[in-house]
Amino acid sequence: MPGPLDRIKVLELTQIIAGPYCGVALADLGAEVVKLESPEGDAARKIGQFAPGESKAFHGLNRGKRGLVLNLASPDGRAVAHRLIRDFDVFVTNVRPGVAERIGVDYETLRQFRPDLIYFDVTGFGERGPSSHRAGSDAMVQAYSGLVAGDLKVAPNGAPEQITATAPSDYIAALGGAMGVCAALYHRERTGEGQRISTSLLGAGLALQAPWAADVPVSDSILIEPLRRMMSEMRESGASYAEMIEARRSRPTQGKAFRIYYSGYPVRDGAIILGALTPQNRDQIRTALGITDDPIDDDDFNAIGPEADAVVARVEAQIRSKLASGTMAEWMARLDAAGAPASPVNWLEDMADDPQVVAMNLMRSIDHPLTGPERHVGPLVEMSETETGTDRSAPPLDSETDAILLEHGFEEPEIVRLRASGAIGAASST
Amino acid sequence: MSGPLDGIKVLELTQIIAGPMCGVMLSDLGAEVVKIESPQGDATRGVGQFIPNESKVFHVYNRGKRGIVLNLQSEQGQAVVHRLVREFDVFLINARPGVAERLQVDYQRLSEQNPQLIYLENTAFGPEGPSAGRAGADIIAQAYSGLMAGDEKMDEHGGPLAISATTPADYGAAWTSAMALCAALFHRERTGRGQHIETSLLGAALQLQNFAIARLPVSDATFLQPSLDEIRAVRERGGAYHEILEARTGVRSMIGAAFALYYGGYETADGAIMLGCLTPLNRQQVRQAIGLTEQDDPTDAEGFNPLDPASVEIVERARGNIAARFRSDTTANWIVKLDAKGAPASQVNLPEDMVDDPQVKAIGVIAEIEHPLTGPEQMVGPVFRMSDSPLRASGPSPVFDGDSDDILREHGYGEPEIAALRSSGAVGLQAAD
Repeated sequence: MPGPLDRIKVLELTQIIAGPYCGVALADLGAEVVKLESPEGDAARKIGQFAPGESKAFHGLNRGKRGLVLNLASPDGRAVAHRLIRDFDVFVTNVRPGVAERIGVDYETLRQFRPDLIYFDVTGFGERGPSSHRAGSDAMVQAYSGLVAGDLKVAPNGAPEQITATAPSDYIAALGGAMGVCAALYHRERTGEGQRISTSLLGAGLALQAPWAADVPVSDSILIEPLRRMMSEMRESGASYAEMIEARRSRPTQGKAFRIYYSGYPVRDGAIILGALTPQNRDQIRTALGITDDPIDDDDFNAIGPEADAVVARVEAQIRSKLASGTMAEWMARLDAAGAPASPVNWLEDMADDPQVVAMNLMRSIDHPLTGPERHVGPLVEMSETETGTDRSAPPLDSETDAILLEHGFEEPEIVRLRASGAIGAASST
Repeated sequence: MSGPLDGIKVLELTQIIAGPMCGVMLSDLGAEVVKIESPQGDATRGVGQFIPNESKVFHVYNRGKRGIVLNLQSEQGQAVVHRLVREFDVFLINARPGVAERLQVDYQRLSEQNPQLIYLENTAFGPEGPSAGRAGADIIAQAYSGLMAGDEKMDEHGGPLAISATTPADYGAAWTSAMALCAALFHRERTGRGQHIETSLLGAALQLQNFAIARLPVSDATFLQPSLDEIRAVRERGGAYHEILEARTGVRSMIGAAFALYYGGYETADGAIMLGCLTPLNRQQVRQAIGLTEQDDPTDAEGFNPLDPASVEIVERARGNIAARFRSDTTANWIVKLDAKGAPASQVNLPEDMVDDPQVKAIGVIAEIEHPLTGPEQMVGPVFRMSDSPLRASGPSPVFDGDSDDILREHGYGEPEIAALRSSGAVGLQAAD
């Protein structure tokens, strides 16, 4: 059973995360993905390198692809790209604004060779505006978009700390790109037209915090305006970053009562997270913990009233001391029995062998030609009519360049000449 | 010009974030989206409620949809879904496994009514496995998947703290679902076949951190095993969460410490700044902009070995030197100097300020919407541009029970029938009768 994008051919000029992960998602949906790399290779090959040009980051973000090493700084290299693109449906890139034009792989140029091309590009800050020229990586966009401040994480020395568990803007831009490409394929199927799809890490960062970034005046006058005033007063008085984050953390909000049942607590041998979203969930937790005198969900409880903080603090202390008295396994058994949303706080290094992860077949085994067997987080969706996932590893640098060119009508002498001129092939091989 | 999903009709039975956000994206892509709500309404209508049944959270995650209030506990309510679904292309649900079957809206039942239906089901842990039946929420997926521990955020009691700036598992699942639905529409266009798609918050959370979860024995022997050994040792002696976290951070930070010098935040004279360097060239640009020599920071110099225990001190000294520079001037001045070198850096903004930010305005991702009850709103609209099938935020979130009758009429229900459904409690909110 082939995937939904069976026979769709994708050419990508990508590096690091946002572009490459979009390619992985498309490969998992059944597309044939060829990654263009410069003679130096994707910079991710060097992040945590364990064999020359091979790293875990690169393997994970480029599985399922074939690789073609092309020097787009040379006219011959550009001509190869222009000849290849005729056979491809989709082009994906995440270079800075202006770079694609400079190396001849912008939308306007490529569509001359393939009029119904679907072209997706992601940049850091977008292609217009005062910051469009600025370099963009996930950490910067986390900071610029408000994610860093919104996460309330401060280093011991008072400096801001970003979300380190993942690169949220990169991944969302990548998934959004894959979504846009699929929608555009559907559109092309119905109309025959290709198109350009573009997004930015900044847009993705904002989408991730849609309620915070939104402006709903009637609601904001109660909940957000006081916060805005407080922050601007603190800024004017020269408060430090850490002080501002502390003020944000401790401000009165409706959410505080909500937060004590949607939060983490230490238990004797680790930690547990409670994830109650509804009054019913909170009751399930109260049952499991044996808490009988919590008025937070009573009709007459005023979450922003003067007494609220003391009540919330009392209940929170109660939850804390209950949970601290038992082990993870004991509490999980009782919370599960009550149907309450809760989870042990797991270590991600253990997840590849976790029984739920194994049961859901979320990890896929792959064999890399240079470095052997690997297991990666596999396709994101299961589809009943169209298989998802791929067995192909990330490409070793320059291992398939010749084969791909031969398949697309290049002849041996031509390939030899291109190699000799430096238009194709890895930097070390010439 | 219309969006790529022009003419596609989506029926959703969703709540909170993961399902509703997927519906928003389909609406942005041009689909017509109808949200089914129970007579109690989506739970987010009550989260930060500012007038009865209306909250900012609900408005954000349900813009661009119309709403119908159905009681799916009643057979008549279920029959309405069975009749409506014949005229819809997509059905979207996020509920615990088993709920769809209980309410008679599972894939089997609905595809009998509409064989070409594309049905997407998002659950917390997936439909099978030891945790399949467990309740889920974003924070649960963060904890279970390792995302939370991986973020290394702790409260003053040594407890874990969730990523609070966003709900990453929910969003990952929402975007993945929208992607899969578009792929399935493409497949249906080529083959005429609908299908059942499954995704989970757990899977979404795992994909966001494949780098830490994946197993590559050759690489792991060098980079991961020391950390695993350390964690096991602390666990075996019964260490608390914060001790395990410290052990994990200790080994890992040695490997990543030099990288983190220029991929992380610093205090400035009047606030904070974030650096986002990925390459040695980027780091050189920062050093030049802040006036740091190879002596001040030798971590990119020949001979520096991050696995040598002596490297810890070298990195810490470099961090001190960098931090001292940044404290000596304002954020705005540093941004000018760093931009001049092309170095990746950013001020640390507040999310509440973003609607008015000049760069955000320039890229046009904020949509202006008018809500019939509560007036004008600005919110993050489509963050994609498509040149041949433009995206747009089509409208506000549905007023509770505001569109039910219209939707039924459009799908062939007569007035007496609608009145009967309302009086039996199959349609409409509870207070209506």
